[in-house]
Amino acid sequence: MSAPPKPPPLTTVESTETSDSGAQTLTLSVGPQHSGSGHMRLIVEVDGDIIVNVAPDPGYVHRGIEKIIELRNIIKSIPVIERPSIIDASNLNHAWVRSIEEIQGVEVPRRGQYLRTLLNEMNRIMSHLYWLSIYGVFLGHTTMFMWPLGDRELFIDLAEKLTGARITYSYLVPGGVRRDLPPGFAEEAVKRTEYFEKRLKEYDRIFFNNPLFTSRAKGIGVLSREKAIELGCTGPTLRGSGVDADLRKDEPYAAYPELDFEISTRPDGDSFSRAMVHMDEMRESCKMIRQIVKKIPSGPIRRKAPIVLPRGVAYGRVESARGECSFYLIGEGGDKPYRARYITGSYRNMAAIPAVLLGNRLADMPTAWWSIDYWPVEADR
Amino acid sequence: MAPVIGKAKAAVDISIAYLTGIRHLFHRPYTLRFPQQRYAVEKGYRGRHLLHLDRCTGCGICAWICPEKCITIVPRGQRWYPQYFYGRCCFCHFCTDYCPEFALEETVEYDIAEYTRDRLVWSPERLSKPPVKKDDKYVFSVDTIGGASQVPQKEE
Ligand code: SF4
Ligand code: SF4
Repeated sequence: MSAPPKPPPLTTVESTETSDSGAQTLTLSVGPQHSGSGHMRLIVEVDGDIIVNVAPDPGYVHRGIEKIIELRNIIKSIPVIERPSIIDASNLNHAWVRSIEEIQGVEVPRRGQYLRTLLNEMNRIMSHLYWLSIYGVFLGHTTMFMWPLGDRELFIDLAEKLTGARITYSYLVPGGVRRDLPPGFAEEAVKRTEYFEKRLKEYDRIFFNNPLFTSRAKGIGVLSREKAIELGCTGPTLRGSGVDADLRKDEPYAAYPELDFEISTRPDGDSFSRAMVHMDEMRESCKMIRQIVKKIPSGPIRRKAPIVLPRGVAYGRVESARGECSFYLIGEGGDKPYRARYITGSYRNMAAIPAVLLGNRLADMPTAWWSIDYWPVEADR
Repeated sequence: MAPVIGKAKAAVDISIAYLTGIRHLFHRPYTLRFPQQRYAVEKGYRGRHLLHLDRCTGCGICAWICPEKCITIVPRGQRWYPQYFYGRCCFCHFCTDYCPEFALEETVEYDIAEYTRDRLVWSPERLSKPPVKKDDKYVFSVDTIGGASQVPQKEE
């Protein structure tokens, strides 16, 4: 046996070479030990401190979830499907149950649809708050790291009352949801969303209007409208580039057709626009939660659904916090799917990473990179 | 003229940011000092399981539905009961939902960490004991003056 290949040098500097123009470039490894990259590596080539080339190197947290799903009963897959993004668990779960219901031909009762939407919107807020806190710490703003993580507790606690679990709910099952609203939930939800909206104003004052942030985010990491569409971006990244695309409006599912909400878009396509789209979405979600607890119809929450997947093909998709999450599912009559293709928002937004980083300064990398809200675990699946 | 206005606006915005932060020095803290101050979860929380030995028929449906394969059905005399390995349990509580005899139940006991791995195996006898009453009394509360924080539960 030949000797194993030599490992790459341990320093972050991989090579220095002279490019065609005669300028010196330097290749840096950012990550994968979460130095502000998530569990992934960005191979960045810099000329001076201008980024001239970026290659994302994902796959460090790949778990083979598509294969695991093929070997499991459709119900038992639910906890696994939530795992790629436990901060956005119910939205991923929703895509899965939607595709199953499409094959089974099961219709979810209206109350069940409302409860699903309720948890989805709470999850969207939690996920955006987590994103915001990491954004704060990337920019060295420790208060913005602490506050959103603390305020997440408002909704985690609310979700715990509803589902019994704090983050991984396994709440949506084929045919409906597992539990009904607990008593006193509506008043509590209204109180908390109103309090949270006040907090969002404080976030604006301390962070989003703060020149320390705006001067670092405006005009940085610009992703033009055409480029965003060409790269197939989705979610807040796409809407931050001025494209009015959101599955909740374009292909309404669950209780969304009956709710009054707006899709936030910003035309500039820079880091600031993407950040503001996240903020607007949290405000809209608060409104939606209040509407849901007011309008929720009475009736059953769950309809009986078979535990097997009939022969058939389905494509179920939802708008998760990071963009469109979809399942392409093939059933062949057993209790396991023949094939389940799992596509998440982060996976699609990965293509935008080089586009937003190229031509920026290395010091602007955290601002531009994290504004995409790329979640490596969700992308690697 | 414009740069001066820009600088003045920046100075005002930064001052507002600082004042917003300083105001919160007087806010009640969010954090609980955990072993001394314990968080009280409501009934319905998906904590550890409670097994009713008299109702369980040993059918094994719980072991079949468990996504993490952490339930083993073990014999006890003439009967069979589930035994849990909590090192793997993800607390989805599908086992509770699918038990046809309603022999399983969620409890509010959430701190079941152990020092050794074998202590995480819960025999049917251990599962059938109701949770020990601990001093769980802090709850999360939101009020308009103090904001959101963990406060002692109100006495009923
Ligand atoms: S706990 Fe319920 S599901 Fe499990 S073996 Fe006993 S009766 Fe069957
Ligand atoms: S809670 Fe879920 S993982 Fe734990 S034993 Fe029950 S079915 Fe298995």
